[in-house]
Amino acid sequence: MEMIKMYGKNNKISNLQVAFLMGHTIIGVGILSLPSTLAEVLGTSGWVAVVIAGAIAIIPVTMISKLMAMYEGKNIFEISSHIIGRPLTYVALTLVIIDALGQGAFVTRIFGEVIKMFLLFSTPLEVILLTMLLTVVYTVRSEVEGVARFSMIVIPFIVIPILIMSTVLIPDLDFTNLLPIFKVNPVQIFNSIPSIFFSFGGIELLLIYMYYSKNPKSALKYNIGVVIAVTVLYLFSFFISLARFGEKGLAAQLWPLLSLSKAIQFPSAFIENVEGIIMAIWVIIAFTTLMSTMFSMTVLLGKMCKVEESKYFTLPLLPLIYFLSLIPGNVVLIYDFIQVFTYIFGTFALLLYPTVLYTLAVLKRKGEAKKNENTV
Amino acid sequence: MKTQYRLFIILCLSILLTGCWDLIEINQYFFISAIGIDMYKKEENPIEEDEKEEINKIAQEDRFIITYSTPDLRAVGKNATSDEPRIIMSSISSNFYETTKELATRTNRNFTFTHTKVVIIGEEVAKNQNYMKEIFDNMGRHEQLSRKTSVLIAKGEAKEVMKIEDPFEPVTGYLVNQITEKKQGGARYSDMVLEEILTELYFNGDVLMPRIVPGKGEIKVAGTGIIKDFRLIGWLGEIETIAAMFLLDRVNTALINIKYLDTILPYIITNTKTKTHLAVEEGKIKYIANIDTEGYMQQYILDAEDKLTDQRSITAIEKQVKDTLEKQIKATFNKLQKEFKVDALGLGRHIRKFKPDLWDEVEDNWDDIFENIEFEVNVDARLRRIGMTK
Repeated sequence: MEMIKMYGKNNKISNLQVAFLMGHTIIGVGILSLPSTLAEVLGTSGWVAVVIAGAIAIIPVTMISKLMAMYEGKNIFEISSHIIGRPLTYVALTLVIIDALGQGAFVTRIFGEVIKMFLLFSTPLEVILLTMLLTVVYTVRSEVEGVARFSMIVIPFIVIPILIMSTVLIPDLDFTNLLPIFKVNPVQIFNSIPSIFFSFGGIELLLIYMYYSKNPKSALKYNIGVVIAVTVLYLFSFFISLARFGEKGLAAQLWPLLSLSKAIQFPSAFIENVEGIIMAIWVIIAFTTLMSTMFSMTVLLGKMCKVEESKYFTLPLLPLIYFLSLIPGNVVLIYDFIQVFTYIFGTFALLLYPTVLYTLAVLKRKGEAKKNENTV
Repeated sequence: MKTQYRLFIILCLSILLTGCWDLIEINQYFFISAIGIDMYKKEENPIEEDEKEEINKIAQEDRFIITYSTPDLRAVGKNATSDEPRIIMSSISSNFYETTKELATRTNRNFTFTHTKVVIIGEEVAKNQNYMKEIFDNMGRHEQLSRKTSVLIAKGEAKEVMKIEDPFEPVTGYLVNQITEKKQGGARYSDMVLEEILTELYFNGDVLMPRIVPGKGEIKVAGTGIIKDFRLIGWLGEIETIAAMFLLDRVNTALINIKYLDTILPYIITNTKTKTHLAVEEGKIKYIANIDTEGYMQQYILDAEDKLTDQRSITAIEKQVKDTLEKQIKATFNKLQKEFKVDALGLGRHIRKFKPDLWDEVEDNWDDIFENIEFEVNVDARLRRIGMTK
């Protein structure tokens, strides 16, 4: 036991790592299409919806963080069983697993479609997907520390190229395209919030990661920080692509952030087209999202089956994700599927389940406190 | 058991690592530098007999002649094996993709469009609304075409333009690219690239596109094609284009000839800024453009009575520049507004951006309202330098 601790194999990760894992899950592939969805539904006032959705997203983050801090050292299965009883827990966690499964399959498929379109034209989609999935399985089997460390180390590889490319883009941006920035239609905004809000899907997986936190009591500020960072990133990508394409032009794009890469040309540089770099970033983003969803599913399955080592569940998930990701017949259907999926399972996992758990937990604590008072 | 297991893995590797589906060596590529699109006319290019007999040809409708120009990589480097600096191919087909496939039966290389610099649309094609919509949709959707590609309209046929071999830069695509990017341009063409043109087209289908003119042994990029509702309806000349570019604030440097002292003097603009705004006066929309220019004189008259060093002559020249520019710009605006009735200068977009409430009112019958917009231009021309002599 001592030996293991010496090498840091205590299966605990820092709060920053927890928050980053969540961030990776949230960003996923939603960011690819979010700017054009915003422009299509709301025009130039789309940023309002992002800000509101980001503000709402802080609510479940706070609830989950507080809940997990309340029951420090216990995993979600134990907590949930304690609060709502074992049978209901099984049902609830199955729904959470299905939610993560849907997200994972969605990421896998979009990843494959994009790579096939821009990079590997004649490689079969199946091969692209399997290569990716096998690599993810390998990473996930390295337990929480490996996953967390990986999610930290890739950050500079995402941030630095994006910053460089945004700088190159600046001369081509027409910021008057952002106008009219304050012409806001409250009804439209209100109606669009539910679909925009699901760009923040992935927060629910904090239910799993928080268990591994070294110090869950102080995790809240990190988690909220990452949600704010994601909101800022969404705003940034919306504004940049709006400035580049204009309102109507942006609405017509399928993946505006990838189209942006077509609009970047390094002035008289050896490498004229930067799709290669964009694709590299894209692989990392898709990989981390898939990794975190797969990790969560593995852990949940392990806890539900009450086994110590849960990594044996990773490989059997592979065919499940693989076949699920291949169900939609075309690119348009992928988005229709995930829409329905998130409405049903996302609402449950992201809003309903944490709310119920947190409310009951608080009530229970109060009840216990009263009881203690009475007995004293 | 362990050995067998290892052997199995090694055998698997041989399947997984045998190669890449997408492997194409660089010398197996044709990097298409320019694409030309022309109308296909049956009378001029009748289909060959044996093609007519094709049984399975289900009402194939050939619409375009598409021409590709590519640098011949064999002519590059020390041990060049070819004298021809470029290769031109054309084919009759109904779209880009078919051309690629058809030409594939005639060449030993693969085509790639990632380095395409220019797309030239023939005049006839540009006049057809449906064709233009198809072509621009294709270019926006294309996963290889850079959005920084220049798209020009040829006076006459695109193929004519592409046939011309410039002595300095024979590859059409690079030539046009270098022309539009060089610093000494004179704003005599619209320098919009695909991305900017698409943005305007998405808004309402009106835009100004650069024109390319085939000459004798050389190519000229000058003038502007006026696109209304996705089709070419007319041209702006070179001087008119300068005026239009002033209104779009896309002028870096330009030359204005002014009449002064019975002669023509060049005023060279080094710096200019256009600020436009809209005013609503008594229910009428007024479009006001304020242009500030700075420049210098490159030429005056030897032994003139009014020395250029005299402050009065400088003021007089500045006044003359102001009048000339205002006249030119007004004439161009009138031509676009009254003659062609096209909002190619993006007034609608301007209103949508800066006066969204007004846009809500005028959006539905914008075409009628646009015709009656009043226009005012104020030029503030400054003469800063006078060259090396007094």
